[in-house]
Amino acid sequence: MLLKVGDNITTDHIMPAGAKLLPLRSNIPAISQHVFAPVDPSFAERAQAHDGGFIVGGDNYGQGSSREHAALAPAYLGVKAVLACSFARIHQANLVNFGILPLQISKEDYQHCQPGDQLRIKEVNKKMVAGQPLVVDNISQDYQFIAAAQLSQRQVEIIQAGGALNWARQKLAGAG
Amino acid sequence: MRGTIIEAILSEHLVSGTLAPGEEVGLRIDQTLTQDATGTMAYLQFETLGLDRVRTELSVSYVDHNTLQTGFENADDHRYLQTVAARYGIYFSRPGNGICHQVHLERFAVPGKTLLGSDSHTPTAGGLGMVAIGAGGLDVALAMAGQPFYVRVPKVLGIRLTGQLPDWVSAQDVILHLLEKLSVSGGVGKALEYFGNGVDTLSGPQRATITNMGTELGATTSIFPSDETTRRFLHAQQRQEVWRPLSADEDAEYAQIIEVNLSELEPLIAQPHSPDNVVPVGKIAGTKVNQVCIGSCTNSSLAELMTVAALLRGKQVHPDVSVTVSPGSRQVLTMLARNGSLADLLAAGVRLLETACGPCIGMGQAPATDAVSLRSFNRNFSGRSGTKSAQVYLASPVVCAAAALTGEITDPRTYPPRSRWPLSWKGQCC
Repeated sequence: MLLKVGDNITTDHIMPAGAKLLPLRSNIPAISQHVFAPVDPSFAERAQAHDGGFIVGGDNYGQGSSREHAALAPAYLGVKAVLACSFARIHQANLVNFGILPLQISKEDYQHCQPGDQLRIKEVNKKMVAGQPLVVDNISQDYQFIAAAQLSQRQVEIIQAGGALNWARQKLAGAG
Repeated sequence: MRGTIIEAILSEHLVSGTLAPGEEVGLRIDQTLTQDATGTMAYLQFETLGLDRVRTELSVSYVDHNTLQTGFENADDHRYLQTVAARYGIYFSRPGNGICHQVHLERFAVPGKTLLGSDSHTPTAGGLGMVAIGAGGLDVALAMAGQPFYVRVPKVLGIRLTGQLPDWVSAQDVILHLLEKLSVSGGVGKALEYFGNGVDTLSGPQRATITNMGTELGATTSIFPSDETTRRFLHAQQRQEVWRPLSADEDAEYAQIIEVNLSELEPLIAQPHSPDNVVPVGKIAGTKVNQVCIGSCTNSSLAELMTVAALLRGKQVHPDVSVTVSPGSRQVLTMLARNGSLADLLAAGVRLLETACGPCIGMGQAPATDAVSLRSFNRNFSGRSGTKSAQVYLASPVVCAAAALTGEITDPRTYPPRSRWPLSWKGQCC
């Protein structure tokens, strides 16, 4: 678990904009170094050192701007899933589009999780396809909790394809 | 949602799924828009799909975000956007034309059509009766490829407007009122549909202010009926032929109805650092202000800026306040120039900015350390202005103009000392 944030985290927190960073929107390796900079400037370095990981958030995670860089740049850093109490619509879709699992967790489990906890999610594909909730092992605290993917069939296919671009290209190739 | 405008438009565009709240449906998208901060990635993605041309009725690529060119990066991006637009049959709106949502209202929005935009404030076009939805760039790229846009069907909230806005109370106050009531997550999974006889009292751009900032509620989209006011706006834009009437059935079913009596509203203001942290302006009157920024896709129409100009005419902005105005479009700026309002703004000491997003996206005009900045914009998230310690407040252009003159947060009903709205055609223009 790379980071724990509170309620109503905006895409401005996740992927800040402004005159200094917007010129990097076409340079994913460069802009990804600024992911979560307003919250925790060491995030990008830590994510890369751990070869990715998880983010835990509160309610309405990802509100605000539609910028897909708030999903694309974390994906570049190796973020595999965001576990939050609830998500804003556009950001939830963007996470799926870039192959990051948006997982809904309870308030209690949110409070229980601590930054740095080692989390493991097993049988993701099997449970996702079956529409079953995922089980998260909190190895550090030795307990398990439930995380709901709440994906449509289409979104399951997108996650399996590694993102919506791969999914759409397969689909268009199949059609044409 | 039976009998609502949302249902009617979604039904006409339904490609897959059933129109039940919470269900994922595929929608045919008629129009797309992008802006430059999200557009480069969207077009790079579109290019990998291997098509010769966009498959929408209309796709527009706007340049309004990255308009400061302090290095080669933004200019390079804009060159790419222009060439990719020419290659694939996309309209390119050059920098200087204006903010995507304002220009889209003027030039392209069509009642009853669907619009998908890689900008969260795309629902601005809902002011003219469009189902307009914000999405990530990749979803917009897929829509340009003729693919459906997939979204969970929102519950339709009915917002019944009655009465008429009193003098000094603006469209911004309607949406700030709803933000106070519903919070920044209160609209998630919902669409806001406005109805009732109060709708008749609001102009096209005023309606667009309200649907624009429905985004801050987390709503999927917001929409107004398409009526005589809509027709008049389109006529003024020489596009009357695209008008069609749209209204909800008398017995339309809403998931919930929220009553808003416009006559009872007062000037409101969102305090740092969230658009739903709303109080009456009078409650914090007297707070010293260091910067006032007027414009953005929320409040940069001709009528709003003429009102500001009329308030500032013959006066000077307070010496301790830096006041900026960024008109929403080339059309708005041209008309301000022709009718003399621009001269009034300049004579009063306003700093005129390019017709672009500017300070709203932190593209210049970062406030001073610990400064109080009052803005007619839609977001005041911490740090978004470019200054971490800045205290950003959101209010209507009229409240901004009053603060520009007094140097402090001021209830516009108490200053300047006159009781009438400065323009006789309030609500009548377009």
